[in-house]
Amino acid sequence: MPEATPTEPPAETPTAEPTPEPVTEISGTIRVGSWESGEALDPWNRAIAGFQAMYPDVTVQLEAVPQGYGDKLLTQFAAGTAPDVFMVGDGDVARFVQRGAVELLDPYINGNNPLDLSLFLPGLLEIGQIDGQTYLLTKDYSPLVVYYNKDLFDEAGLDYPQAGWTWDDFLATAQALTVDEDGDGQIDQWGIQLPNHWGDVTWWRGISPFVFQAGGDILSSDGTTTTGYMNSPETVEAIQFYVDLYREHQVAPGPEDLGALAGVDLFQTGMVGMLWTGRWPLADFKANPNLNFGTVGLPMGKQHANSICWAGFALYSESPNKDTAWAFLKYIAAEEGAEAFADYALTAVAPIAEAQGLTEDPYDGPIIEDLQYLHPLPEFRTMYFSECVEQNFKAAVERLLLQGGDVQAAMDEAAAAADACLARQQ
Amino acid sequence: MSGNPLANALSRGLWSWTRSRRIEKLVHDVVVYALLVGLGALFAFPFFWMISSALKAEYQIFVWPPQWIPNPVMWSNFAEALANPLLPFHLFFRNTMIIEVAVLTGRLISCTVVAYGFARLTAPGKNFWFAILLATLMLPKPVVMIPKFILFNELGWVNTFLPLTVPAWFGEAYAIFLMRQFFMSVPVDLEEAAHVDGASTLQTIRYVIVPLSIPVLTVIAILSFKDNWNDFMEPLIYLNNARLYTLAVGLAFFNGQYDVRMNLLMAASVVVMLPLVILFFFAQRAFVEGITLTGLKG
Repeated sequence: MPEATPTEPPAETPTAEPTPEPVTEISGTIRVGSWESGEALDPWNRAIAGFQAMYPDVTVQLEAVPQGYGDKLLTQFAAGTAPDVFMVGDGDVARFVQRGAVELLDPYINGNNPLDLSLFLPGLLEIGQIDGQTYLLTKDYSPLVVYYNKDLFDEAGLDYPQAGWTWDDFLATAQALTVDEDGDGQIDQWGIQLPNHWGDVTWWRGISPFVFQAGGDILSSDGTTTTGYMNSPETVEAIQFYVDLYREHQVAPGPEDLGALAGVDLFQTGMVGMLWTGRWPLADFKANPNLNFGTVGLPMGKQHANSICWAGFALYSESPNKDTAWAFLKYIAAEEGAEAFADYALTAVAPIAEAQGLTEDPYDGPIIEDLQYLHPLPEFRTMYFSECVEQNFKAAVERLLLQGGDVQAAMDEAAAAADACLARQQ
Repeated sequence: MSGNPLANALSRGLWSWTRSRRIEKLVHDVVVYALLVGLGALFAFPFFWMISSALKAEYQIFVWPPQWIPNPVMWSNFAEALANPLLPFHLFFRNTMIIEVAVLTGRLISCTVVAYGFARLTAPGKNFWFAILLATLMLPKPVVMIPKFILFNELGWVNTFLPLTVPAWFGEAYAIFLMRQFFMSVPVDLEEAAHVDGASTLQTIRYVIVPLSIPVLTVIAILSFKDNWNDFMEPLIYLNNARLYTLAVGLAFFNGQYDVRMNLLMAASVVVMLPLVILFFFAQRAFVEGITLTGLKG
């Protein structure tokens, strides 16, 4: 490795915000960890080239680990040799932060190479915060959104859903779109395809907006208890509404229908009028010339709420070159480097989103609009979320969907089991 | 036919006996071959499917009903998979071969010497040390992964081939065990004759033991080669620079984030697997012999 000779760094001129010339020494080599591969590495290479052009004394080494990324990172944490800047998926945030591997960013944000936090779109800064302290900056994300098939709405003579619609509107629309065309008792077109993740209809992240919209939650803010949250009247109301959509009103294809139709895109084939999922199918939908569709923010219950699938950037707590690592992190999360990533996924940087016309975009506009209602992820409150909280929640919802039964009793039981599991981990 | 009733009865009995034996043998053969063909097909199917997928256009891979024979045959997949500028396959191959050669040489030399010691030489507490050696087989890999990583990190060996090759020069329990069992089956007279002629211990190993142990050495060479070839975790952890990656790690790069180019992945996988298949094809006899011999004697 040719060691860069330290010289005076040139004044940086980012487009996103004019920052004062940093007093810190920005030089040397930093390592960057990503789990991406293939064409997803293109923005990385572009961002690194841009950064190195700004700071000729800096060498940025990209370490792309497309498989086994988490395993490799945990091993490196144990040896104290993780990359200076690394990507973190939303499922790993609690684990990595509680291990002490993630550097607190607030001192840098307010330091001599500061970051203007008003650059970020609403709600996204808070996702990277735990107890009000900033640990991560957003790389890319996808909130949940409802897609609707305009042709089916026109057929049924329905108005297109508008932002601010309610659970009642949502249910009424779904009922109006559910039809048994040939009268054989088999539904041929459903009103709504509810959130499912590879066919998993108990996907917590997809269901969670219902819970938050009802004013409920699944876990206390300190991450230690679920009783009074997972089985609160609000959460039970939300789960009741969700289960009723399948069982009572039958406006959504159930687990067995989804199994029978596995591999069929129900929305693109016009078998469902609406679809509740993330942003990821948008490009495919746009590419389909026969699909006439729109997007709308999630309906509101007692309140507006949405959740998010998210990936962020972290600064390694044992990095030997933190100032340079911070300069690079800032560059890819909020400055010119973020523009490279914006071509591939939703950006968190408001000026870039505006330059792209995202806020006015007929499809992306409603998705960005809904960001103001983001609810913090309970996943970040404990590293045992998936094994204790999520597992018990999913098991209860699955039983309710398949067999019905009393929602309150099922949630009481799930909360007790989740608390016992959390207690074992303390 | 003579009119001797006894002879008649005998020949009839003999006839029916041989006939029943022949039918039995026939039934036996049919069953055995049916099982072999059935199981053979079962094991060969994924392999066939991989080759077939490697020669398809991407949109044809997931069609239903499945297309068994690709049409058109896309030989270009191989070129595209191996000529990707982001994936320097020639480098991955070179790196893998460097590691293979270093590991195989080290393992064969060190394990032969150690195994001979356990098989023939006398030393205080020999059996105790042998038990300790076998006990290391019981350690699950994940348990030693992090301590090993920290050790090599302290030595400054991370991001080099050293952590992947040097340990092979210090013996490996399974190979030592296999060799020891084999060496013990070699007649002692041969070694004594060599000893009488003035051969040193190392010469005895070199000129008597090794030539007689080709089957077991082949088995260990092939198993080591295969394990290294497919090893994902160790190179993944120790190598940070993509230019040092091995084939197994490089292959993972085909899993792009937004879409997995399944046909290219399969084409690359076929190429990566080919050396193993060829190797086994040529060394098969020695390999099977080695396995059965050590199995009998072990």
